[in-house]
Amino acid sequence: MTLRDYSIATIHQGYRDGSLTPSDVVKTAIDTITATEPHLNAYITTLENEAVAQAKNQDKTLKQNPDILSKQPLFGIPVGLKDIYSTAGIRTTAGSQLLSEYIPPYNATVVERYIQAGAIILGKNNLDAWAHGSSGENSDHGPTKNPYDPSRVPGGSSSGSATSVAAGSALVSGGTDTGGSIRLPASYCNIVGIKPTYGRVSRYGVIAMASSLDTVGHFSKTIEDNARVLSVTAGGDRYDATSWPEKPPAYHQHLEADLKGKTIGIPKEFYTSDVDPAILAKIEEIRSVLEKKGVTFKQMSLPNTEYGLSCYYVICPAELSSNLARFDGIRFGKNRDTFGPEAKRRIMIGTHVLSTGYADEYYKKAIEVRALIKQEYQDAFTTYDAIMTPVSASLPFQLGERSEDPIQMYLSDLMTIPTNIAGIPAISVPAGLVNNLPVGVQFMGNMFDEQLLYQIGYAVEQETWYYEVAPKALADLS
Amino acid sequence: MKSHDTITPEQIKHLGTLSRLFLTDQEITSFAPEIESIVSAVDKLKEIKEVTHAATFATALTNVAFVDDATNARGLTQDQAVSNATKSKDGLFQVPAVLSSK
Repeated sequence: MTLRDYSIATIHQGYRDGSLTPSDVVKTAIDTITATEPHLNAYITTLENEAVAQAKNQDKTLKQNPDILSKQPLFGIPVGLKDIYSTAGIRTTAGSQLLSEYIPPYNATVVERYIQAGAIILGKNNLDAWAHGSSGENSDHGPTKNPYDPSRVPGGSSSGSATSVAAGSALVSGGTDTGGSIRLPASYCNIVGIKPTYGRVSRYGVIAMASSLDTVGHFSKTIEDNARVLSVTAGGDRYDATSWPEKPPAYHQHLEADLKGKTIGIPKEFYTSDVDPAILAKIEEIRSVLEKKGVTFKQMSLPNTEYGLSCYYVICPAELSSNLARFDGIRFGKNRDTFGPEAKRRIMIGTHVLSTGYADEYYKKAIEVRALIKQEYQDAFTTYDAIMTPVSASLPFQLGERSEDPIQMYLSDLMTIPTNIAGIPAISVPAGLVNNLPVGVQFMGNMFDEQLLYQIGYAVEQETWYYEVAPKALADLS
Repeated sequence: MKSHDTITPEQIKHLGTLSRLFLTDQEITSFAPEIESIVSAVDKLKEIKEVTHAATFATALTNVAFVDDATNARGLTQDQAVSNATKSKDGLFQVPAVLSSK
């Protein structure tokens, strides 16, 4: 048995009936970490000793107070966290050399929520440094590999988070998504990844990339696990002025829904000849599954989609150049010359588009175009309940295939960027495998409509069960 | 479609100074064409001539103010605050000299 055989509900059932203890679950996780980490590099820091100690305490708590399971929704659940979440007393690197020895004196709010819900932190997951990347190859701590084919990328920037959940070296992992950094790796690793609405989860203590685009989300194998975690992490935070104050619903309690009469839009701009036909075929299958549930699909157009990449690659570098200015090599971290080439490129582009003589032409124009894109989606959701698109135009690519040309890498985010620009939520759901390589399908929803996205994802999952297909490569590793 | 002046090594040097990156000569030379190609890609925005919408923010919230109360439960102690400093003295950050005595 590995964590791949469990869900939050089945672990808690085991805790309830005495067939499982937190120490059992942590041992299972650590066995997988030991076997797979030399091959996958999903973690920068692993916390075996701390996890074992915490599990021992939880064994006692469970015996003395079985009611704890109703109070702590993630009690005894082993999680990974993208190494961009500040964890008090635990090294946090943002995937970089610059912060390789940084030890935050505080927890990010989202980390506090995982802890207060009883989660056991197994370690800090690998990522593209500073979240700059779509493949995991920009990490200053070595690339992460895709468990379905270790010669290929798992997607990025939340590369280690996705790999650990797919490999069973975490049950759930927290990530971030600024231009697709949860949805792309989720689709490449056959798991569920949610990019919630902007503001749904507090960004306080999450090392900032682009403050108006960053969202805090997470990975899991199943829709139900994903929904359970969002109910824990979401909700207002006085330390994040952009966080939405409303308490989130118990998403996992409303997964079964009658989807008859729902309308899903198919925007032609996302279904061009650039998309691998094998991926389009998988998406067609998903469409059939949902049509059988009574969903109507309609062709539609989002004409400003073609400006999304340019808009993003002005706003994102601009904001990150400002956010990375705080790394002065004085209060924390090493000198600024420790930034890698991708970080330096992005900082300079950001500086350029904000500088005198260029700010109107680039930054001001980009935020005006952002308003157009946002309006386009707002208008779309007056007609459509959700929008369905591929996550990626291509299957998981080989390590090294795109890392020479920055623009080739940026194109990986074409389908995911618009939702960050518009602030709307989106989910990547397993849509099957092509030659053993995972494909994900993306559903976008209206602001704060994560519940509907989970319901659609649940309907797809309960018909197709794609997440059950384990990574073949893992069998060779132990 | 090229609608901007080519990014030169001089400009890269200038950007390096503005962003406190202190680039080497080799970096200045190698970054110029890379930045040039990215700026060319985002030139596409110029196709949109007129935007009649006002720029919007990512969030629907307005005027959120921090509650100014005396208890800041998540504040840092002085020791915590300097715990990652390259150089600190007496609980203060030591910074490189900005004024030289002449």
